[in-house]
Amino acid sequence: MDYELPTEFDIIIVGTGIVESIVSAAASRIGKTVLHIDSQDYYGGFWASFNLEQIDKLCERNQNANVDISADVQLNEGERLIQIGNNNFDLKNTSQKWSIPEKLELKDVSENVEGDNCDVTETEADNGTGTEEVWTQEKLMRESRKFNIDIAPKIQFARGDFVELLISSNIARYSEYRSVSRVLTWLNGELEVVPCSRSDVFSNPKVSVIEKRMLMKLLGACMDSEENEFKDYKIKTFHTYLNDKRLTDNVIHYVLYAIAMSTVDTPCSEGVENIKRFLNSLGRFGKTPFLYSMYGSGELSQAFCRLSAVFGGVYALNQNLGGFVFDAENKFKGLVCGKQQVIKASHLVMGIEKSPEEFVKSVEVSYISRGIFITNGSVKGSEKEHLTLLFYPLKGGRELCNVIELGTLTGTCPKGIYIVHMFTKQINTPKEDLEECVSKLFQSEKEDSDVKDARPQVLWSFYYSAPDTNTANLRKDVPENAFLCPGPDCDLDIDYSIKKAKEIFNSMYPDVEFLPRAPDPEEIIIGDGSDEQIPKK
Amino acid sequence: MCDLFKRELLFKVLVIGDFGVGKTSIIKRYAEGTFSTKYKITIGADFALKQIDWDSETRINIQLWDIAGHERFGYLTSVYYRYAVAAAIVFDLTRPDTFVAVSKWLNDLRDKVSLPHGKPLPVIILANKGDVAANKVPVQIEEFCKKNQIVSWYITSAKENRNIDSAMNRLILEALENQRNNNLYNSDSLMLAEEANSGTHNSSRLCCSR
Repeated sequence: MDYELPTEFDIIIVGTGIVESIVSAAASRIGKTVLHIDSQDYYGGFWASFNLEQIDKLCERNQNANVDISADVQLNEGERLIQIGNNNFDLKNTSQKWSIPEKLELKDVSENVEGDNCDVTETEADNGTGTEEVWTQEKLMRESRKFNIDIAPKIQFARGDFVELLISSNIARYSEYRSVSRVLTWLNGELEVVPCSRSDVFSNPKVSVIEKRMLMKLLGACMDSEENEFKDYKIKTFHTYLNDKRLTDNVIHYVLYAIAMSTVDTPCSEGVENIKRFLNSLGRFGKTPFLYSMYGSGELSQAFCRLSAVFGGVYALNQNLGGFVFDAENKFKGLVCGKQQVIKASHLVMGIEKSPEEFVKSVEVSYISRGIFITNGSVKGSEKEHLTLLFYPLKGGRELCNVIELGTLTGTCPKGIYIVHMFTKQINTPKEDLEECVSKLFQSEKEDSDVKDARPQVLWSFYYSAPDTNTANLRKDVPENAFLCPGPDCDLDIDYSIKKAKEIFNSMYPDVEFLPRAPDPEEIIIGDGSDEQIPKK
Repeated sequence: MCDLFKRELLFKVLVIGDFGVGKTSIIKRYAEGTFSTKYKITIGADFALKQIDWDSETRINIQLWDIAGHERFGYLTSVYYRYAVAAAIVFDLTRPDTFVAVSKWLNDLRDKVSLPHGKPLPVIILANKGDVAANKVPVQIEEFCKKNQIVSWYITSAKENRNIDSAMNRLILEALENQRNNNLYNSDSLMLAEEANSGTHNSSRLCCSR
């Protein structure tokens, strides 16, 4: 499977993160020749999902693997070769921990021999009797491939820019979603279901009749956004507005932390916008405004890559990258692939982690504290499996921790297992930042008490800091025909990434439609093989 | 119009193998009954469709997914593999290295996709360009198939329309057998569309029995 690549393209894209992949699809779609290349052997970069074995190796992996500096190419006068990759954007403070034994003790093994032969009905019957399943590292590793663990978990708004783009571009056919089935918050020391829709509000036993009226009236006011309503709150917080409305503490909590996804410091206008976004996305798919991508968030970039490939994009992963060639005017000329081949293109688009050091030296990076937990049960048990989104106010409401709990129906973990993702802006270390939330949701590690703890047990955990460049200026030190794509941010959704991808596309190809609807296979008229036609729209 | 048939099935079949071994020719021959020596990549199409009235009760819609020379370095997206029920791996009898690559393609396939109950996908191997090099069959092929649970292998020629129908029929028979034993894919995930009423799909995408 080793082929020489063609020597000239309209655009070379290095890295297969979501922004790079969207630009790739958009460019291929309008007939530009695209080389989409990655030094890694998987799609998605920092947006990928991994199975348990792969994530085990993630800590050891070298981000700049396959970047070669020994290239031997002939450069023209004034041209220079710049090394690909930098050390500014990588996962930091990674720590992985198993909290279960490697194998069962010998006597247990002999009892379980039959189960190991994997008669499906038998194992299921075992579960049905209510005996708790005993997990070992070995047993989980055997199911490694049933895991799709997101490095950057994302939830989409049902009417957000991403979903609209998927539908309008017809890329929706490449992916499937599940709707988040409940939204939770942490209130008065317990997990409570946030009433999302009108019917939720009215059926929620914990919300009194007076509170119901308050809540509906408030949400109505935010939706209408009449000028007078908010004119005194231009420089005040949303929390202040809610307090002034003389609502009960419970209603303030639901609105502030869950529906508005805000903190006590969020400006009023932002809180109102968030509420609108939440309510606008209600009632389209499922009971909540939120969607999660089946088989993990790593699917998102691959859907765009597939479209790009179907429209002629050339894909090459696991490639040795020898450097970028720039000319005397600091214009991008080409990519050195392997030791000698120079591939030319008029534009270069790259993931920020693939950027040469000199283009990103002044980019400011903040970090996201992330934690992933494999558990043996849901944080809030129920008869049917839920896909849960939880907004947990940290530090007395100054920060919000996003928690996503995924069960086997999402195609991201085996039966009987849940994956819990947590993330918040980094202040200290990931472990310290998430500790409050972790200690409330899961069994404590020390089994010193005789009282049975009904909370789920953490079987495996993985903490890390992930770079976030959302606020950084990515054009400052970058040559005119080269573009940097931001990595995953701390937002729940990827609408910001879409905005960035569109900006990059429009800078290269102004006045051309961004991802027009792709035809379905049956709409493509194929001629005699020599003149194939596709509908332009 | 399909009322005559008690059930209508949809099978996604993958056609994989090295660059230039004749995947597109085989697909065109099978789906459209045509052959040309200079196929261009079909821009914008994910797959070719072929409809077979299998028996008086069953109609099968076969989606033949070409890698289309795009993801040609062997790194296919999950989108390509997902929900496939069978695969044909093609090599070129005139280029021995393309047979060596068959095991790479097979490994990638086995690694990335299996049937819902963990069973491996049924796979056939097509030794293509049999019109010019039928005598160049690799001696190891029989053993390779046995060792790797390959359903069967065929010398094919897209040009002379040799063995393609019988090879594909064999593969479909296997897929049908699996379909009978398990109700293959069943999830209540969402396909996003303009409005919610087209939302939930109960395995309507593939393998639906009516």
